[in-house]
Amino acid sequence: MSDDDTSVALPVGTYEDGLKYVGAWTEPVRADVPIDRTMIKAYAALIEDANPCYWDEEESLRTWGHVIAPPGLLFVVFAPLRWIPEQTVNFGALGANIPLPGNSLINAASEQTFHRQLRLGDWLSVSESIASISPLKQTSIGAGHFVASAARYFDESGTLVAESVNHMLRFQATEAQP
Amino acid sequence: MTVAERDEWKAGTIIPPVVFPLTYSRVVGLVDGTRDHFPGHHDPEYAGRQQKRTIYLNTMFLQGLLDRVATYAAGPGWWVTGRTLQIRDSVYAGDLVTVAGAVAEVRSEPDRLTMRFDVITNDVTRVTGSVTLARGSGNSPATAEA
Repeated sequence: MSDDDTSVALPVGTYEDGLKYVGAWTEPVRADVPIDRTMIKAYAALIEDANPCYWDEEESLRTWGHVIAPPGLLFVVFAPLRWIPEQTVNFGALGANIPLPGNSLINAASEQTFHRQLRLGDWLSVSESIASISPLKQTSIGAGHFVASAARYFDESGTLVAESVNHMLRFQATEAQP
Repeated sequence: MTVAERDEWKAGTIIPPVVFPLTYSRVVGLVDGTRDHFPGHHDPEYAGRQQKRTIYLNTMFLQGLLDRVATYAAGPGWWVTGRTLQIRDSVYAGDLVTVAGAVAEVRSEPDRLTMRFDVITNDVTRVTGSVTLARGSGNSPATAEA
């Protein structure tokens, strides 16, 4: 049985509603949490990445001069906390937070460019922009709109650390049975 | 021996493939390792409503998987400066996963290495991607400020 507590509540609107969001950049928003040791090791453990610099801080310091973090944490640090007191928790990515038809989403592609390595202690901020929204497309899992979102990631000094473009399908999944 | 240590590493050099069974436990571990609570990664019924046969990997796992294979192949002193990922179809819990790759481009001054990868299940490529690595300090000049 599906758990209603984990159901997806996306903002629903028309294609034209979504198009109004194309082009503008958001103000930088800081991640809920900084990159910490638990995050680095939990991610490396999941991936089974034996890179010694993720497991031995002295090794990382000898190799790089700082404690590095896996580049895959760039999206991870912006995954929203599951619950925050007196706040409505939205999906982390802008592409999921604009009104469009459909009740579900799935990621289709991503490109990331890093200007430096991620590091232990980085508390990143992100500025995002909807680059484009496709007309309705038929896919193997249903009809939907592909949303391309650009993002720029900054450290606490305001220095650009990384950039990304993400492509997400917003579509209609079947409804849960009562 | 890593790719980078070979005397004649060049475009076309095969990256040693990585093969592993993708367990349900590991896919559910996405909640812990990537902080991703999206139900398609832990709720088979929700995945079914998305026309998926069961729970499936998320983007962050696939990114890290390609980074892991690329940095291990390149060897110490290389870091990821870029990555692309195209998800043609999902990689599901219960699948036997193969990551196959090859060097696509080698450049010098500064040293750059791009590898291309296929993530394959049931003899079909589900995900394609590339990882570009640089050798050096782990920094390249930032191009803009907030």
